[in-house]
Amino acid sequence: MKLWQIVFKSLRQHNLSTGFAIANIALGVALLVAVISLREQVHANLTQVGLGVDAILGPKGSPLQIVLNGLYHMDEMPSKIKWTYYQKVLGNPIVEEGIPFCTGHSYAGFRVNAIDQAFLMNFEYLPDRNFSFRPEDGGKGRAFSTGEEAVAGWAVAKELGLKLDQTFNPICGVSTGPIHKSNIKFVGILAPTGTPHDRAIYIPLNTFYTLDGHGDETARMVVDEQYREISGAYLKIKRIRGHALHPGIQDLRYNINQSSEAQLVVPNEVLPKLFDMIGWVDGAFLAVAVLVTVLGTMCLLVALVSALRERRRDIALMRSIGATRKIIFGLVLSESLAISLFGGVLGLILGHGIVAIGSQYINAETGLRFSWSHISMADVSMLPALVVGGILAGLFPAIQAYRLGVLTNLRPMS
Amino acid sequence: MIVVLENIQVSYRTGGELLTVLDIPSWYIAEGAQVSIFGPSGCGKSTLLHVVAGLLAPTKGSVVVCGQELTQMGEAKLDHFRAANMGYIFQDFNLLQAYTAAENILLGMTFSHQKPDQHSIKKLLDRVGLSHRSQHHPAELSIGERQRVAIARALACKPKLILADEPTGSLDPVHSHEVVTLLKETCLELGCSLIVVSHDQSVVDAFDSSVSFMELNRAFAPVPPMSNFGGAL
Repeated sequence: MKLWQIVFKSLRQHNLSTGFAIANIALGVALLVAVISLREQVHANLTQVGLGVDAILGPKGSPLQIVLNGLYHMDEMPSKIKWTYYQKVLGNPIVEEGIPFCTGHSYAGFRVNAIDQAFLMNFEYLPDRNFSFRPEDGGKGRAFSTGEEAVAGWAVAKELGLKLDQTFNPICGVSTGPIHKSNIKFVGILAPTGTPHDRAIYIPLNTFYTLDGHGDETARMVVDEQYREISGAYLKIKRIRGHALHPGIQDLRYNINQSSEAQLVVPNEVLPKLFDMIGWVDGAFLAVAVLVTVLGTMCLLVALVSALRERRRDIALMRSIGATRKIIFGLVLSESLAISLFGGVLGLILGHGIVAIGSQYINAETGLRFSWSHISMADVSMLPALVVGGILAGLFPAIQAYRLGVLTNLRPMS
Repeated sequence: MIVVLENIQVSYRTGGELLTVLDIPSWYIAEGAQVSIFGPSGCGKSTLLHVVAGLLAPTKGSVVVCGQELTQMGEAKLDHFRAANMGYIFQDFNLLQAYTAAENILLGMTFSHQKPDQHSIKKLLDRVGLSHRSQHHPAELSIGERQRVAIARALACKPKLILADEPTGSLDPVHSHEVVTLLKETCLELGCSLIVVSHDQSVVDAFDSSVSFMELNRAFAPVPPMSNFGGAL
């Protein structure tokens, strides 16, 4: 009979306390894995090279507000900037490309952003990844040209059931406001990108100015560049040594920020501040998860100690038929390890299941894409931690079992 | 000689006084012998078996079993020695409840470092008349059947000495006779020595060689029958 068979028999003999200990550990591990995995993936999602944007030229106000509005289609732009100022910035030698946009409109809860056509043609939302159109439209999807045309992000089309040639009327505002009766036609639906770009509708910049109801003053912006305003612009900065942003960005930012016209925001610098702001929330989640895991390990200790009380006679009997103290010690320790490892593996599976379910919800809400199979720091460190936890929890009962006297525990039962 | 005891004393300190419960000047058992030790309940017969089995170290004296001095052995070595050379049968069966009859025997083999041998287990269960009950747990066996499994387990490691402590204490006279006969026969077949302690006269009568524990143990001090043997008699 192998050691593992004896361990398995013993665990099965105390299936209630064993099951309870396994469930506790599994729950704690699942929470830890889920919290850490989601945390890591949120961080990765929000810092992935600024979603292809090196810098955002935006109006004066909160830099975080500009990033959230410009990149994540949340919140609102604090103000507008002059087209002429944008052109001036575009003329700086370290600025390779600019994509101007206007925000502030919506449709069925999704943002409608007016943007330069270059966004759909040349923009890399991730390194070497350009937008394409979803294959189910049979290659009929295309970028908008000037006119009453629009391109929908993948998640928008999926949630609203949009089809090509379908028309819509955007709302002036992000939640409520007058409806522009412009009958804009969808001419393309983007393939999924796993970024917030999936959750917006894009129309041509000039269409924005001439939307029905915007009035003559706004319409004048099409022809009069001195008068034209935009919400902001994505900027692509020249790189040096392959990846690093050109150091001239510091001077550029200083000069822009000193002006009264606009500010330059680098998303990769701003987003960590968002993490600092919400850090206490995931810290609290993490603390709860750690607490549940510690409780699970303590539950394992209690289960082993109480099982030991019931098994004193069995252990004494094993000793009387030749099991050495070391074997008994090893048996109890192995049981502890088996429970913690089994609970741990179950917890890992459960944790990834939580990520899979949670990711669908988060993806629907934010457009951020998560993978259930993401290997987080928790996955890597969990099994060694459980081995240590299992040994620590099993040590006390194992020592008790080791010390158990044979004769005192073999008294007749009757 | 399979067992040689010399100047054995087992004493406990209780209430500030030293109480000697076992005092045997000299006792020998020949190899292959089958001996019963009789005496009333609570007189220290089990203590003697515990000393012979190495489960209890005597306060002084020498215990030689199968040519090995047990009092000089470390605990781990003693555990190995016991597993390899002795089989112990208790009064109340002491089978592991989570294990089937066959597994209880297998466990004995495992701890005595014998290669698990299904054929031997089947043969042993056949011999004790329980081959049809091999997959039954102790709770599913009758009292007599449980004691047969205990005998089979004690024999599984092919011991040189079987120690049986009141093996029929929980059995009715019919089963008691069956178990004693089985014990004697199987020990004879395997060529191992047998020491049985019992307070049951019918068990004692089944052996050619019997020893009175009161004569063997100098520490035994008879007390008035009513208070000492009331339960047993």
